[in-house]
Amino acid sequence: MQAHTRPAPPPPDAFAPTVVAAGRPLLELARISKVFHTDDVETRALSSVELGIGRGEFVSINGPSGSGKSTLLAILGLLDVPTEGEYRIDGQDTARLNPVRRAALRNRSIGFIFQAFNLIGDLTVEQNVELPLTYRGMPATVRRRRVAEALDGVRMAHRARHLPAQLSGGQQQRVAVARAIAGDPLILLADEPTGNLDSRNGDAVMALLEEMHGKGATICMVTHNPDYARKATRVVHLFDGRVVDDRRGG
Amino acid sequence: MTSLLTSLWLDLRYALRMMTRTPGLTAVLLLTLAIGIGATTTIFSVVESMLLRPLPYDRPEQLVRIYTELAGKTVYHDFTLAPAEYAALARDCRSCAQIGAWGYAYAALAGGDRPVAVRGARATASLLPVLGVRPLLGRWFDVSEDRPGPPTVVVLGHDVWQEAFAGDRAIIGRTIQLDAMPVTVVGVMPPDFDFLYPRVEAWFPYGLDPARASRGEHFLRVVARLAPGATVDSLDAELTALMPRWAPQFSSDDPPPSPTHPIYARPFQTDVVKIAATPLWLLQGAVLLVLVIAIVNVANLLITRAEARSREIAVRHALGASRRRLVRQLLTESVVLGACGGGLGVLIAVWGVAGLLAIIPRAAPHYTELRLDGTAVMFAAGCATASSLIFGLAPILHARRTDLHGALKDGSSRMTGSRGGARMRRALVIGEIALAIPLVITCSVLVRGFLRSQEADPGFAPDHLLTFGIALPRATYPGTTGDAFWHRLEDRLRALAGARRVALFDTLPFIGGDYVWSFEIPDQPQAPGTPMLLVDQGRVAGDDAFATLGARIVHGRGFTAADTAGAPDVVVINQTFAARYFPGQDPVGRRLMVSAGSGRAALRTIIGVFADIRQKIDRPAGTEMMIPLWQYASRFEPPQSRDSMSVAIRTAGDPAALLPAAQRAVAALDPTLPMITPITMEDGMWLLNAPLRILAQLVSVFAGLALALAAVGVYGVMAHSVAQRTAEIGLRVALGASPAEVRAMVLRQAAALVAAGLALGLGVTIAIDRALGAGVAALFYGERLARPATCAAVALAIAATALLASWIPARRATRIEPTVALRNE
Repeated sequence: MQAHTRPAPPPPDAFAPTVVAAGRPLLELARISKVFHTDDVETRALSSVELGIGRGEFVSINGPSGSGKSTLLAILGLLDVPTEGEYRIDGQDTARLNPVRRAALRNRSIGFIFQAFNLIGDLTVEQNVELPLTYRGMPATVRRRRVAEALDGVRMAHRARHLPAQLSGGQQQRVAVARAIAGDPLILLADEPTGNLDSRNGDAVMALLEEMHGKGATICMVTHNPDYARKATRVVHLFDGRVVDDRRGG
Repeated sequence: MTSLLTSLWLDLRYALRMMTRTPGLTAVLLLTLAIGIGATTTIFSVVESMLLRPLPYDRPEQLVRIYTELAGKTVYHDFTLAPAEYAALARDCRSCAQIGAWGYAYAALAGGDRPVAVRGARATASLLPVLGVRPLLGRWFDVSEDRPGPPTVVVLGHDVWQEAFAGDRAIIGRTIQLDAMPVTVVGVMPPDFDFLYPRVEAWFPYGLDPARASRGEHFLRVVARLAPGATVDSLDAELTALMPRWAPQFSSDDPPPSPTHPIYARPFQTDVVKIAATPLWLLQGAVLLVLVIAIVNVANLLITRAEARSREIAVRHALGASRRRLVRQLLTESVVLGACGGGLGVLIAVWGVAGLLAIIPRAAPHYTELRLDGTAVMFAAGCATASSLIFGLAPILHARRTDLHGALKDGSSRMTGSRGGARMRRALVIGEIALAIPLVITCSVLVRGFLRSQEADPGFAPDHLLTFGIALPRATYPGTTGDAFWHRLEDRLRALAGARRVALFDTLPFIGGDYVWSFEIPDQPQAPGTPMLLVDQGRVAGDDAFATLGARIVHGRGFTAADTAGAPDVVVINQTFAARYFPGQDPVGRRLMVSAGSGRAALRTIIGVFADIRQKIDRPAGTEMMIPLWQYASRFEPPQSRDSMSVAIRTAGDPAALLPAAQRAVAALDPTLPMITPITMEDGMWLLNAPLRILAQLVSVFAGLALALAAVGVYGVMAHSVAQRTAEIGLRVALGASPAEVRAMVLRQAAALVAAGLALGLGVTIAIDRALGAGVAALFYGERLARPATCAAVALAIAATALLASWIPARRATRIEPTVALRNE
């Protein structure tokens, strides 16, 4: 695991994430399987996946189409539930969570970066970044401070009042990154974050993720691009719903 | 030309295919349109029959009603004329080419298979020529037959000819008994001769003798035909100019026409429909709102469909279709939809008119003319065409704004749908809610007014009261023999098992006529030239009148059997009378000089004060006085008892059950006397309430439809919004939104629409209220539309309905999986 220095913590407030217990993976997947049923067809997207992601890791998940990358990311992000197996976040079993607590845990612990940016067209840049903080019930003053910090961090503060449609693809993805980090989550999940960008903007977004990682963020990224995958500290290769290779590097 | 037809044919086929391809949506669109057009056409049929269709008389625009006024003296307006006034008018008025008069009277008609009491009218020989109508059979009576004395001829109404004489065409020339006198049937009126209200079944000559008519009595209904070139205004001007000339011709006890007692004219058409006009226009307005809401709903659904067809439109464009060509295609689809909706609407209107005929009392004005005719069908076609063009605009405007490049690309990464389409849909729903509000408020005010009219204390107990009228033929009951009959009748009826009390009245509250009497207060002499004092309601009543009605004597006493012709003349007054003319004084023992209609005035001592009795359902009691029946005959020289009375029997049980026994009692006294309009007081009041009840029922139906359509509109917009925002909602869930937050978000969006609609609708309601002012209050029993409590209650109800309609889409939104956020669009 690469040594790193965590940036100065934000002022203590009631919305800070839970402190992670030392020596235990942040995310633990044990015997995770996911089966989809469509009519009479059963599709096994994941089979007995065992994976632990430690704090501060930058994990790249690779694999061909249909290998189960997105399903794995959905389960990691609490967007979907496994058919079998156990998934713990910071030691907390996610299986018994009702939808409300599941949403709260997702909001507090996970930041998402999507391939299609998924900014809401009717909201300004700062409103998009503020959205997960609003769902957390954070007071407006704290929200505003966090949004300003996040937009500063991705160098988009000057476009705070713009609508997504007024931004380039690269800028939109930087805003998406700001939205993901504004809540100071335990882990950033990025699903093909450069997939909709040209190489220049893709490089810029990867540089931003590396910068975040450099500041101590834990990142799990799905990508097809081998060059970007190599920037991760650990590469997990999926094939047919199984982890066939798990290599640490960087 | 051929290519145009071919392309129109292709458009038509495609439009029909579009309709069959989405049967559910097509059904909703057609049903919405059919309800809107059907309801509008139904009410238009009534409006057209009753208000717009020219009266079935010759050149009806030349006909005028002539009234007089006793300004400030009584609660009533539009008085009938005194014979002297009629004679002066007929003699001097140059603006009137012809003038005729009539008055209503019940008559016992014998000669058919049984004696029947018919609603009759005494008419001058000039009446039918004024109207320009000819009898169906025979002729109208002539001047030689219209002379003072008992009538010798009669013209039958069509219904009584059919019912009592089986439509026998040989009836002309036959002698029948009218009020026990032989009269010759000289004519039968056509079936559609529905002359004013109520429907008359026998016409006989007035035999008017102005020289002998009691001075000051106003009882003639007058109609005139304007002379060529004359107008209502010129007639009014001439009548005003004639007043000074007429003044010397009238005696001191017969007030001449004057500025406080003017004679004036009103167009006959306006006069006939004056009672029905405001409610009918209100209904037409209400139902037009329903149609507009239906059109808005259809437009909304068509925009939704147009959004789904954006790609198809773009492909057509890409393949070379011009904008005009596409507009024609979309317009054809709208017109086909409108035509089918209009056709179904006419079908609904056929049922609607049949339903209305079932609930409207047959005696209503122009009842026989109420039908769905060609004009109404043309109106429906007009509605359908106008609707097609209006709602057809929505998809056309949407298509014009469609981003062709974007629509052709498969993979737009927008998180939300077309902003323009969404804005238009929201605006339309706001409009729907805004339109529904005045309608629902009107409905609630009408229903409140109706309930208030039901709850208003009539001043007596209408339950357990059986009523009917008896008219004594003068020929059979001359002089005071009538009083002997009334005494015997009271005795017979009081002896009936189940009859607790019996009393006789010349007119009963609610179901009887209004009689305005003049009077003087001897110890409060009027200055010379001061207009005479009038009491709003004068009544002749037998003893036990108050106990029978269940009315209350609050001071002094009521009538007893001792108040006879030989006893001192007495009178009882109501509390309003006492308060107005004897404020702060005890009126009992004071005296009044009362001119109770015809006959000599008599000095009467006030013996009691009774609690106010309402005479009409829709207005509070005015001043009232009653004199004893047994002191009526002595006012004439020679004495002459009343020839018609209404009987009230207070029963122990169901009043209707006592009717057969009462009929037998009357027949036992005189088998030739028919009972006139036997009815329980409660049924009579129920019938009187019919116009307001029907109005309230119809407006309630339309308000319900408006509310339902608005709710469907809100549901449609919210459901479409949720469907379009699936990805966005999925993202929000992925970012941590809980189901409650997602639901709240959708409901908040709906609430914003509802709030905007409510604000607009309440504004419109306040504007309508201000524009119509007192007219609205008069129609709604003094209620205003913009009453804060009503507005608040309706706003709350509409908001609740709209939010309920949003609940399903809101719930659906909470079921959106966050994984949709991961899917590439």
